[in-house]
Amino acid sequence: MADDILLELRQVNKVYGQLVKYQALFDITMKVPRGQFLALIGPSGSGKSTLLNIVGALDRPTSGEVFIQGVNLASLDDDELARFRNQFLGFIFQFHYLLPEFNALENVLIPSWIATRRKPGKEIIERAYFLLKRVGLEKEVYKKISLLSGGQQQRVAIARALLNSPTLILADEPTGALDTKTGDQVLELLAEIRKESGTTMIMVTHNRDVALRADRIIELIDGQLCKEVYPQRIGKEEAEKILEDHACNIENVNTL
Amino acid sequence: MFAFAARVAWRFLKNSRSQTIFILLGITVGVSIQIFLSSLISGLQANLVERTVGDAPHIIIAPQDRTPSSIIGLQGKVVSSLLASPTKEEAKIPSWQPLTDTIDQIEQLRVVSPLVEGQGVVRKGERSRTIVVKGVILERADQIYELRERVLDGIPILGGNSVLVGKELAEDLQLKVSDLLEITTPNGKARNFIVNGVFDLQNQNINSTWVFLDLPLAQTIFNLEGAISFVEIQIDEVFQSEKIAARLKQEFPDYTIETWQTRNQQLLSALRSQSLSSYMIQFFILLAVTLGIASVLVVSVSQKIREIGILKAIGTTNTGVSFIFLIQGAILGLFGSSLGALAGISLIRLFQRAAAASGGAISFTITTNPRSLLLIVIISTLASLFAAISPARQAIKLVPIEVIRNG
Ligand SMILES: Nc1ncnc2c1ncn2[C@@H]1O[C@H](COP(=O)(O)OP(=O)(O)OP(=O)(O)O)[C@@H](O)[C@H]1O
Ligand SMILES: [Mg+2]
Repeated sequence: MADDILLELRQVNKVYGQLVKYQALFDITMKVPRGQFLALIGPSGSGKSTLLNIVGALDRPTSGEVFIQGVNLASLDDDELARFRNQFLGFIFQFHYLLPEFNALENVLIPSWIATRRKPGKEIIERAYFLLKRVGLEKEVYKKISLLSGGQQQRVAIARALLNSPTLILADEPTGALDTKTGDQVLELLAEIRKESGTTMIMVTHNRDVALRADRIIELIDGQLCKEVYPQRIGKEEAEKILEDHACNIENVNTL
Repeated sequence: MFAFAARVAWRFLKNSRSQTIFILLGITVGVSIQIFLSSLISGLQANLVERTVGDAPHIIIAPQDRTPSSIIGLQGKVVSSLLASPTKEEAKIPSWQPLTDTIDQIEQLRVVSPLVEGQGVVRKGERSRTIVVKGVILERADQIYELRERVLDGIPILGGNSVLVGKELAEDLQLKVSDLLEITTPNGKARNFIVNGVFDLQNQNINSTWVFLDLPLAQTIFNLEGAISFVEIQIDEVFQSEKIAARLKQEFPDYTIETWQTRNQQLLSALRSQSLSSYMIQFFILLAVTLGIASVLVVSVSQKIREIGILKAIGTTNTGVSFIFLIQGAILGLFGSSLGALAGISLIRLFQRAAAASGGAISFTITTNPRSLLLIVIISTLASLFAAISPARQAIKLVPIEVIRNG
């Protein structure tokens, strides 16, 4: 299934600002096949979050096109985009963004409430339980969000992102707000769960070790694609060598 | 989407408990004052109207071109102008029996009383006075004028040659019960009558000019041959008079239908301006409550920016997030105004108790009017919903990435 493309970007540009313009992305063209774990790396301000938000249908590009499962996101209006996000995408952000008014289980169920517009059925609730159990929060199911630790909160967010069985998981520094040890555990878990379900995932990370565990690494510099590495194919050491190198190797970015 | 929005709205309200309680209290106070005020005003007005027209006919069926003198209310100027005008052949209602048959089919009429009215001069010894002769069927007229209760001396019975005279007239002519008096009608005939009783209708003008006698006798002395001058009517709901009058006008196009309002313009305009100021006060209370709700919800939007942002990010539509705030407004309005209704009813109860305990110092009573109660609750709820529009729009405008970017 080498050419089963889930995501495609064509000449995506993003310019911020009205009076003072700032271009954050330059002509980004790339494809992501189904099932891939792609790590986005790059220095601060290089445009990683900007790119991820555009892919996540949270923001629109200034020019260029984004296709997910063949759907051109530009053809959807705001409410359709909202439904698209709900149905096909799972988000995990740096901060958990859970609703403190609801307990852990309810937070996990929110995507289903939004989607079905009615009380979740038994099946969905069982799935929510299963996911909470899977992220190790069996005892915290009915706890208020504010009573959970940072790591536990982020795990609830992971369970929530997975509830609607998304086609694409988008994670922006999902452990950026956690201490290293907790962060590693959460990442480990996320990687495992992703592998089990074979879901496509794009993760922005500053963590070199985490990136090296991905199928593919893309490095952004100043809003442009710079490097592309397949660490599982060429081996960790070779990959690290390329990443440390200053020169870009962008010419083969669209090979799979 | 609605069920989900309702759920989130409810949680938002529950979680910011003190905010919710304060605004609910605000609505409760506002609505209860509105309800109390409107009941107070309508009680006051009903009392005023009752005092003015309670013992006067509310509607009069008169022949064309004849002005009835009965609805003189407190002014009583009509009588003198009527007396001053030159005597002309007076119009009359030829037969009242067929009339009452039709009238009896209209349910809202409480009393229907035929009346023969004419001028006369009463003489006792040297003294004489101009009077208004009122020929009535006592049982019917009594229900309007409460004559029987208001007879101070003698017995309130009409029949034969007996008449009832007013307190002032009796004093003027030094009349006592069983005295004889002579009444001369415009056609020049004089007759003798016996004073059966002296009444006090609490109106000097009436007390010094009206003389009641039996309807058939009045018909005889005025040569009416079974005709009458007016039909006087009392109704249960005094403010329905115009409507009922319109109906009567349809039934009897040949007669003039006059209501108490035409004779009491001054009172009416006083009532109107009172109502107007009451509405103004109610409007401003409503405005204050609405602004209160709006400000609480606007603050709540900025407090919940993170939540709304993430809800939108994971797929809540603009309609969905706007519902969250509209529903909060509706919940606040409905709960607040229902509590306000209860509080308003309690206030009214308290007032009723105070009125009862005051031993007549508070001369009027107020009651809860379920219709205006319901109306106030509905209007307040709608106003709350209205107050939620601006916060709902703010929620729509909120861009999720702004929230996500800024943590
Ligand atoms: N709303 C905005 N208005 C103007 N400039 C913006 C806006 N959002 C981002 N930028 C700019 O775009 C550039 C890319 O930002 P972005 O957040 O994508 O970087 P990043 O790679 O995610 O950085 P970090 O690793 O620090 O999260 C930055 O220079 C940033 O200042
Ligand atoms: Mg970023």
